[in-house]
Order: sequence, then structure tokens, then C-alpha cells
Amino acid sequence: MSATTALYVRDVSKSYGQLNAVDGVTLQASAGEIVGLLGPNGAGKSTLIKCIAGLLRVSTGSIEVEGFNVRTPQARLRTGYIPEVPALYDLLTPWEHLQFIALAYELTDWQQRAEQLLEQFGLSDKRDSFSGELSKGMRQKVLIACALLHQPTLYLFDEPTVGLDPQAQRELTRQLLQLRNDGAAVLVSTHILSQIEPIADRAVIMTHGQTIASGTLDELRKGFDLPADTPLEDVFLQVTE
Amino acid sequence: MLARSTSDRAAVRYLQSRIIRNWFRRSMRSPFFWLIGVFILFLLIGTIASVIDGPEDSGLIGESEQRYVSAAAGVFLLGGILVGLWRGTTNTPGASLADVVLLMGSPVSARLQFALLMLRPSLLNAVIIGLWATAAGSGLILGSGDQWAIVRLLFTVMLVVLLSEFLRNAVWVGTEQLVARSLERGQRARMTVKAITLFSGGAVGIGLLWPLTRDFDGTWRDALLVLGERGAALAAYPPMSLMASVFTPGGYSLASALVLMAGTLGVGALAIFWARDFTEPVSMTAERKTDARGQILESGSDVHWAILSQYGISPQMRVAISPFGRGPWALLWGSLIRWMRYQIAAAWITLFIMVGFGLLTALGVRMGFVSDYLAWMVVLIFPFFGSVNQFLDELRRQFLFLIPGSAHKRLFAAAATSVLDGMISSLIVIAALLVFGAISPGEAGGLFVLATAISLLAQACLALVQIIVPFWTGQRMRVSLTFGLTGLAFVPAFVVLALLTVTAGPVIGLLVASGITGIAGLVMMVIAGWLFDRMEFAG
Repeated sequence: MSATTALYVRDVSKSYGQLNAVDGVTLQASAGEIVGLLGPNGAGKSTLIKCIAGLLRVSTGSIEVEGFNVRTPQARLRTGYIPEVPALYDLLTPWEHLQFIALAYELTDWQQRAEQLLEQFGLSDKRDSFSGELSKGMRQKVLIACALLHQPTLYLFDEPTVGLDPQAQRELTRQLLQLRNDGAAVLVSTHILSQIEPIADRAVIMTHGQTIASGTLDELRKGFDLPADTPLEDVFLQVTE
Repeated sequence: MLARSTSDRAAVRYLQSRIIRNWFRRSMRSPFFWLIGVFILFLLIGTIASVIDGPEDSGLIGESEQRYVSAAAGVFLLGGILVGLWRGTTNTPGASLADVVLLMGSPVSARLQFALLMLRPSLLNAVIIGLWATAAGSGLILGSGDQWAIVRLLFTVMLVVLLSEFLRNAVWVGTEQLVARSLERGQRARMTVKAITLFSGGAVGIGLLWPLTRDFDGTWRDALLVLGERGAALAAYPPMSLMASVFTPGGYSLASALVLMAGTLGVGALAIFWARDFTEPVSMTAERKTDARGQILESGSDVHWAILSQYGISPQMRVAISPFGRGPWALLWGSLIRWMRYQIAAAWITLFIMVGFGLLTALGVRMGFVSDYLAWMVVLIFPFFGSVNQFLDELRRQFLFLIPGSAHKRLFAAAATSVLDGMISSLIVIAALLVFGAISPGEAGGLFVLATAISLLAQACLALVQIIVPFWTGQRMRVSLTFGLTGLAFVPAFVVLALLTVTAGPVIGLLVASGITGIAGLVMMVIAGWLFDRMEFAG
């Protein structure tokens, strides 16, 4: 594991009874890198991301965030997780969510950054509305703002663009690039390959709980003898068929 | 930087206090909140007034009955403990997806997270018990009069519920730590707890009922007295004796109550102490609940079924899905299917409850505790209150508004299943009463017809209120108004029922009252149909 490795997933398996949802996956994400986690439905991407977020126990193997076991508070301090479902407290406002995050992560002088995030995601006029009254897309934006507020070094995005309007999708892409430039490691699970293709440094492709290919887009093309201009979608289809 | 534990507590305190504060803020927008608030205020003033009035014994509970009350309290505590143990092996603590992502994903300590999950559903309960402990400690709630006994009963029930809940959490989280290390060991521990609970519950049940199985030839009342004596013997052992002593004639042991409270707190503290690794099952349960809600909403809408039936697309599909009913009547078919699915999936529990209600009422009638007219009320209460949610769901379906056709037909189609549901509920209770000989066959027939008419009246009133009363008053307010309107519309039938039952007999009274109620229901439904286009889709 190199000094800049933010995430190290080592031979991780997760099974539910007889079902192996994740089967011996090893992957790394370094600081300043965006890794696309790709795969068809049921490939085990979300399960793997939940294991990395510390929500699920691993059956075998280990996961470390900057050298800390993923289930320790130190690892949680360094991790930001944005699930597909915009899970917010209906009875809290966006601003109160951010304030809770600030308290839980012991942030100081966070207000200006929180204001900026709300502004960037077009939520300033909704800062004092109950989250239960917001649309799905807006709730997703609040959740992203919550994850960005404490500036972790590892970001886990599980289908982050589902429910977002085009402006918010563009803003999210801009944020992902900014996070990479700021030195964070970003793991993005998505089905929308056209969105991840221009920004991902590497891609990890999973099926049936296993990693079947990984590398930069060029490495993947070479590995499967595809022309140099083959889009990621075609590479993905070739790899998974 | 603050100490980690201090900031954890600040975060959790902030989270829960804001949720409570905002709940009040939002609730205060609803007139229903103020209505309930005034009611509780009156109740509180009445209770305080009666307490200030003095602890005299009004003779409602005699010395011998108090012995049985003590026994019942002791057995109730034992029941609470056994239920807590059993649920600890099966029920994962509840959490929302927001808890999973924002709280459990944060560095807040696992023990504090679990404390919040455990205390959140019992917060009001714990606060009231805390107030009680303070009042009891200050010597305010002492004495032996029966009005004090009612206050004590209320608070001890709350204490047992809290103990049972804490016990459930302690057993669950304790065994979950074993599951985290070894699934087999954890499952074995849970099976052991289950077996102990079943064995203890079974032994207690057999011990209580044993004398009744051996040549017992007394009346129902004698049987209850025997059960009371057996319960009193059981309640002599700790910890039941602690609870029983709270109700023992001639005195109230504050020490007993305090020991029970300390025990409850101890169990809660043990649960928090054990809580280290519990995120996986809690998060998976939260996700399953969200998924299930999504699936119910999806399948509940039955969008494709309604479209196919309405527009006649794909005859094969139409035959497969809708053997009868086109246009508005396709709604009836859809709601019947949904109702059937729900009955098969979940309503068998309701069936037991209904049968239980019927049997208890029949028992009361046979023993002379319950009058015949009260038994009638038990039957009629189900169609009166029972199907509100069902019909509200139907009124929220967009196809009710989109499908072309007469408003009356659409409204009747949407209400028919709810009426049927009310009829069936009352039929179950009637059957139980009839089997136990608590009512005559004539009365049973009359009650069934009246229950059907009330069911129709209740749905018509609900539709009318939903159409006329503005949505901003809140759903609870509108439902309260529905009950009020149904009650008012039933007054003429009730008067006739009372008069005819005395002069011409109960069966005639019930049938004539059914006719009046049915006509009132039809009139209301026709009016609702005329005004139906004013109704907005609630989404």
C-alpha cells in the first residue's frame, strides 16, 4: 500500500447465507483519483460501497481508510458516503442537517462553507424548509452537501446523479473534479457511463460480486483488444458479455 | 477541540431536540393539534383537581379486589419481561435511512447511537416516569385511596412497557455482539433465550390454569376468582412481588417502585454498554422497510391494470387481470385485489383481534359484566371507525380522477371495498357473539344489516368531508370531522332504534334503524358524487 493510498480493499467477501454478494474483491483508490465502480444490476457494487462505508460487516478480508480499519471512528471521520436514496430527516431543515454534521464531525468555522455549498447546489432559498417538503433531487443535493461539508479524504458515491436535474448533475461533476484536485480519493458507482467516462482516472468493473477488469480506460481497451477510440460504454459491454 | 464524547452528546442532543422542536412547529400549524391540546389540558386539570381533592377512598376498589389488582400487576410485569425477552430475539431496533447514513455513518460513538435508537420510541414514556419518580420522591403521590391507585396503575403500566422495551434492546444487542463474532453462536444464544422464554411462559400459563382443568364445575366468576388466587400466589415472588406491593391494600411502597425503576434503568444501561457492533442489521432493516414501502406504493397504484382495463388494450391481459369491470368499475376490481392481498398478507392478525374482541364481549355478556347494548356497540364500532384508512387510500389514487365516467360510479366503486371491509369486521364479531350465545340469531341478523348501513354511511361522510373541508386543515382534522358527521347523521336512526327496541323489540328496532342509516348513507354519497369534481388529488 503506497503512502497516498486512501482506500485499500483487500480480498473482501460479503455473503448473505449462501449468496456471495461480494466475492474476493481487491481494489485501491489513491489520493487525487476518481475511480468508477461499474457493473450490471446485482453485481455487488452497492454492497461493496456499504462495506467500505462501514455499514455492513465483511465476511472475509479487510478494508482500510488511510490505514484505519473501516469500522473505527477514525475511518468514519475520513469518509463521506452518499447513497442512491436521499435519506434525510424529514423534520430537519437543510441547514439543521449541516449543523448536525458540523457537531458530529467537530467542525469549527463551518458556516461559510455550508453557505457556499447551499449556494452551489441552488439550495439557499430552501435552507430553512423542512426536508420532508423538498423534492427528491433537492434532498439528494442536501445529502451531497452534508458529505462535502466535513471534507473527508475518501468519498463514496452510490449512483449520485439519480434524481438530479441537469444543472445539479453538472455541478456534481464539477465538485468531483474539484475534490480530486484537492487531493481526495473518490469512488463512484454508476450506470451512467457517459458521465463517468470523462472524469474517471480508473474504472473497476464487477459482475457476480467479482472484479473482472480494472485499470485506466486505455488499459481496459488494450486488455480487450479494442480500438483506441472505443467509448467506455462499448468497453463495458465487451467486458461484461 | 471538544472531547469526543462531549461533541458526540452535543450532536445527538441537537439532532433529537431539533426533531422534537420541529415536530411541534409543524404540528402547531394543524387545528387538530390544538383540539387535542385543549383536550389533554382539560384532562390534566381534571386529574390535578381530583388529586388535590384528597386521597379519600370512594369505594370503587374494595379490599378483596385490591388483592386481585396486585396479582394482576405482578403477572403483568412478568408478561412484560417475557415479551421483552422474546422480542429481543426477533425484533431489530427501528431506525430510519437518515439514521443509517447520517448518524451511523458519522464518528458518533456506537453506544450513543444505540442509546438514541433505544430511547427515541420511549422518550415520552421515560419523561413521564421521571416526573412520577420526582413527584413520588417528594411525597406528592402517596396514599392508598383508589384514585391514587389509578394514577399508580397508569405509571406502573408505563414502567413495565419501558422495562420490556429496554429488555428487548438489551437481549437483541447482547446477542448481536455474538452474531458479529460467530453467526452460529449468536443464533444459538437467541434460540436459548427463546426456549427459556417459552418454557417460563408455558410453565406460568399452566400453573395459572391448572386448577381449572381438574374437575372444575364453577361459574365463569368462580373461574376468575381461582385465577386471581393463583395470580396472587405467583405475585408473591420477586420481581413480581415488587410490582404487587405497589398495589397492596393499606399502603404503597415507594421503595418497591424505586427498585423497579432502578432495575429498568439498569437494563437500559446494560443494553447501551453492550452496543458496539449493530449497524449492519439495523441498516438492512431500515432499507428493507423503505424498499417495502416503495413496492407497496408501486403495486398499490396498479397503474397498468387500470390503464389496460380502461382502454381495452391487450385483451389477453385484460382477461387475465380484470374478468369484470371496465371504466370506473375497474377501480373496484383493483381495490378488491389490493384488499385481498392485504387480508392474506397481514389481516390474519386482525382476524384474531376481532375474534378476541367478540369472545371477550361474549364472555362479559354471559358473566353479566357487559350489557347487551354494549355488545351491540362493540359490533357497530368497527364499521363506524374501521375503514377510514382504506377509503382514504382509494381517494388518493390518481385513476379515480383520471378515468372518465360518472363521478357517482367512480365514488361508489372506490368506496365499495371499504364498505365490504366494515361488513366483514362486524360479521366476525357477530359470529363470535352468536357462537357463545351472547345474542340471538334475530339480533345477529339485525346487527349485521345495521353494521352494513353504518359502513356505507361512514364512507359517504368521509368522501363528503374530504370534498368540502379544505385540505389545509390537515388530514387528522378532516378525519375527526368525518367521525363527527357520521355520528350526527346516525342520530335519527339511533333515536328510532332506542324507541323501537323498547316498544317493538330489538330486531325490529335494528332493521328500521338500518333502513334510516342506509338512506342517510345513500343521500350523503349522492351529494358527494355531485360535488366530486371539486375534490383535489391529494397525491
